[in-house]
Amino acid sequence: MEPASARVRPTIVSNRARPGQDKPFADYVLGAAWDEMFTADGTPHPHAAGLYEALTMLPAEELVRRQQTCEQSFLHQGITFTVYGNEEATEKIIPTDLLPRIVPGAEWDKLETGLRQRITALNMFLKDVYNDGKILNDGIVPRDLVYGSKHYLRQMRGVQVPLDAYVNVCGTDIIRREDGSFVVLEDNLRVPSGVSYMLANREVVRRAFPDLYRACSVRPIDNYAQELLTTLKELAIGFRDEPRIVLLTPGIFNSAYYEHAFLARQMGIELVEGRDLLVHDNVVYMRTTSGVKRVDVIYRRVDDDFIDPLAFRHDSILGLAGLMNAYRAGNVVIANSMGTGVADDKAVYSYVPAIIKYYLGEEPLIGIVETFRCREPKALQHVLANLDTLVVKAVGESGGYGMLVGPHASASERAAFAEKVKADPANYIAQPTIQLSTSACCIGSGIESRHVDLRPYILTGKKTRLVPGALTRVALKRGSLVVNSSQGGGSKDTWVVG
Amino acid sequence: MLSRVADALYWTARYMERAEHSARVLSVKLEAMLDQTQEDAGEAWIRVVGALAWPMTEAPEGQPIDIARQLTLDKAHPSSIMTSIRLARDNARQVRELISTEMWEELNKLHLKLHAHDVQHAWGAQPVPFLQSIVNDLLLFAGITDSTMRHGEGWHFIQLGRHIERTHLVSRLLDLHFGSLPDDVPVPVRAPRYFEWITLLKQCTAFEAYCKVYTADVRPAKIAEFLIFDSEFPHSIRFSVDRVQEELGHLGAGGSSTRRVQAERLAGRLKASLDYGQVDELLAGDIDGFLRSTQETCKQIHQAVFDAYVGYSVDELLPG
Amino acid sequence: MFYTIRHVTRYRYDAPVRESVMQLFMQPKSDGAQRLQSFQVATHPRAGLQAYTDHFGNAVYHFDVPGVHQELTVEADAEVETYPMPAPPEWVDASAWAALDTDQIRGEHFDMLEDRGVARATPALADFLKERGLTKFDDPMTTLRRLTRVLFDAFAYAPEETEVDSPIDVALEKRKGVCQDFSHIMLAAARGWGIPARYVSGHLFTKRDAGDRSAADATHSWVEAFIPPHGWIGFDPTNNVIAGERHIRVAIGRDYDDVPPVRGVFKGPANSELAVAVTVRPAQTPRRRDDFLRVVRPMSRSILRTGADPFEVQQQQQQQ
Repeated sequence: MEPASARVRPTIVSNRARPGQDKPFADYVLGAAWDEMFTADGTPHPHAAGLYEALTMLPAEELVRRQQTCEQSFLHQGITFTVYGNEEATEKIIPTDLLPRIVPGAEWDKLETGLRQRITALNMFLKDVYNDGKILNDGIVPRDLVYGSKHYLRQMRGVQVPLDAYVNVCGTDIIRREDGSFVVLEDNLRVPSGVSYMLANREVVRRAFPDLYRACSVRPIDNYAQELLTTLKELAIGFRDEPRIVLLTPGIFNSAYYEHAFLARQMGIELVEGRDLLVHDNVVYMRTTSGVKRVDVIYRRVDDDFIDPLAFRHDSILGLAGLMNAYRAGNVVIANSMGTGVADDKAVYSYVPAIIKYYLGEEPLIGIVETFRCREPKALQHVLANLDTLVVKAVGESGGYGMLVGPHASASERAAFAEKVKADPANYIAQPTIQLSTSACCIGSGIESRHVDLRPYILTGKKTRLVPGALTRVALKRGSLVVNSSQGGGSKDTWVVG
Repeated sequence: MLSRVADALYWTARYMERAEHSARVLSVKLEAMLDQTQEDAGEAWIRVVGALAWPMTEAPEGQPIDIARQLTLDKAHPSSIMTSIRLARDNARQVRELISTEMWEELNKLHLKLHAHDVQHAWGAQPVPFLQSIVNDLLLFAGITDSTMRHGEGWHFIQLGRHIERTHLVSRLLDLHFGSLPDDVPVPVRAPRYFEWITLLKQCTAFEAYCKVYTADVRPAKIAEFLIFDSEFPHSIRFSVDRVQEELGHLGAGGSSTRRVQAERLAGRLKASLDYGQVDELLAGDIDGFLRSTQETCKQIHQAVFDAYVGYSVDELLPG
Repeated sequence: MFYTIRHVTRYRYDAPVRESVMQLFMQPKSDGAQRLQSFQVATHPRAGLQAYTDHFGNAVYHFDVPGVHQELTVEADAEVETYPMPAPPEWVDASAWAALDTDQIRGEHFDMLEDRGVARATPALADFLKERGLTKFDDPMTTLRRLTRVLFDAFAYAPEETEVDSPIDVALEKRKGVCQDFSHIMLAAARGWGIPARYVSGHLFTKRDAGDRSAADATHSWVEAFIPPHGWIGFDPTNNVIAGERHIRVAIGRDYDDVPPVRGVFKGPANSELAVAVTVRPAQTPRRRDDFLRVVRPMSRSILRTGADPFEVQQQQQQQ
């Protein structure tokens, strides 16, 4: 129960706690970035007024107590990811921030429409590059960009994919620019993770601010697992009425294992590892205590490279030999399909607006960040000359690896990176450094601003589904723009309100 | 249920039972030391080590308290409580989606307790209460398991694991007290004294229960009778074997019916030997042989269960 | 010419294994100057054979053996007719270089122009080409004829010196190797000059009096290069000939790794030994027994073993 004083009142009270001046916002920096709580002049946005109000009423020690309760809850539930050191693996919680990030419903609705458009086009692109290659023949996307991508799998050429839906679960990273507009930073089309944090954050934050939650009429996201299960069932065309669906995990040592177990439990499906399965005459079975049982749909959280040692990396022990054969024969559904990484390649990213226009004849509803392709000599020149203002990324990597944040790097780091880029220009793209928007975070006993992004999850089966919510990732270091959990990022709950 | 999952549940239970047994044996022993001469105490630790950390290759070294610390907190020791809990948790983590959240949280709390930065200090200050708190945590886990998890096949695998482990551990502990020492205990030890018999009963949580049946008249023959043949006491061999047999009956068809039938037959035979056995015959005759064959049968049942439910060959089960 | 080809592969394991899954690139092609008359595969233990056509147009057969086994044999028998083809020209017009450098050709043959696996341009290759004075000559045909000749002269044929998937630097260093090495070197060189080149896996009807040095009882490989306006032409650097009526094409790929005759995975803690026998003979010649199986890969530790510690591999995954 919250103290009565923390209850939301219908009107905004006077601006007595000013960011940068008064507690609890004394250390709150309003910089060049768009701020999710305050307008430039330090008054709260209308949609954030309720939260603002609640926070100004909350004693500092109560804020700290709730933040601790929230962390405790994560630790006890074992919502952890694994960090590998020299001696043994240790489990850490992804730091969760207590304060919800609030997105107005109208803005969300626009975003959602744009995401539907984007995933539709990306799925059409994947079908095209694995079949007729029209977009390549028409010169819209360079052929060598696609064929040269390490995620382009020749084994997928001509393979029939259920409903032509290659990407069934997509996690799109979106950021808000200085002017408040949303742009896509990255599509994650392979095995995107983090959705369990979206759901777990909601649980703890709802518990911490029950009255505020009610007052804000936050749109619910609890049906995510249900929607995912429905999507997976839709893909099993021509299978049994009640297809057997399993979630394939690399195993307990994988850093996202908690999420795999969580989703399997939420959906009521078996959580399997490669060693539980076998392929016989192009059919997949699992070993159970009452003999072997046929498997129809696999929601896999194992990367392409490791999923079938016969077809892909021969030294993988995580996957299932012969799975690709069973898939090709249409005897099992795999979600996401293989080879989807070719479309979330950071170089292909820069062509997505053109891809949307090509297949849908529509203007893209969500923009992208201006991108310099180092494969193009002029762009390369520009990038090398402006390393101190750009973010440079290796095209095939994710998770914040293989990346240079120019403004935050030392001269020698930049010089070393320049050499890497020169040695293999086609492997790099560069983007201007964008001040990701900032959001209010619980830091110590006060509230400070930290940079955040937004990752909604988009499900595609017969139709495309989104729950109104997302994972908001936070760069917990003051001033940092890197939100990846592997690089010291945390997360927070996202409330779509109204 | 997935074979691997059944296997993990089964092993979670075995390791938890092993940890509980170790914690109790150690805490009772540490407490009993207060009443014993140093010589007695030192010698009797051979029995403790023999019961918890076999096969034993050499006589345990160091002070009893150090041995106890090692058997509790040493991460590298294969039989320490620390290791058992870790292995139990690793197995439980594999089946996180099948056990209840309450079970997982309890197991996780125990894991965190053993990995707290001041655990050495907590142990050093008060080893006996520390061990007793672990026993309590493990009892709590067992209780949570029974009252929050569906009593389906997975739960039956847990019960099976617990009772196979218990049968094995109690037989082993008795083996170190009755008859001659097992071959893998290379150090000669005198026959147990009065205190050690009491300790044995307490290590099996049996002292009070024993007194209710036999009064405080502590005699080896009666102890043997109670801990082997009593059908109502949860830490007697008879009781655990009954449960093993019962649990086998609750499991599914398995992938190999031959091996499943074998497991049932082995358990049935073991139960029969307990139904009709007489303690005076045993004590006059081959109690060593009996206790060792009980341990051996546990291993065979384990192997048959594994072959029937986990590691079976699939070729006869597949179409075509 | 009519040929019968018998290709026997035998795996032996030093411990029982199960759930083997095997994939074969063994069926001779039926196109160009070659017609497949019949093709049969028998496996021991027996298994149901499945097939599909891969992205390079190769016929791929695959099967699985679910039950426990310790030996696995694949016998593939083919009958093929090959026709004489007019010899390709000694040289082509110099304009072929320009034709190769068009977006259309580069796009269409993208896969056959890129470094791939072990067939990649290395400093050692550059040194070798320089040392031998090899560069882009007047036209692509002349260039590749010279390369074929030089590879034949510069390298000794030596079966035990390299593995099928050794980096080309191994053979370049030793100046020894077998057909796969010569093919991979030629692929890397040709692609470096902008000539689309592909790996051909197949068989050669060996004639010693024609100067062949390939082992008669093994599979063969050579290279096909795309030379405008002629199209694909086969170069056999092992034997310094243009591929012709005695070359039987089985599969094409970017390198060996795309089209190994057999690839397989099994479960079980075992090491495997691979033995292969190949006979290519003109039709009507009576078949002989396979009494000369040659061990091409001695008992070696397998990477894919169950019970291997999954710890490291599971971290290999990148997180998205």
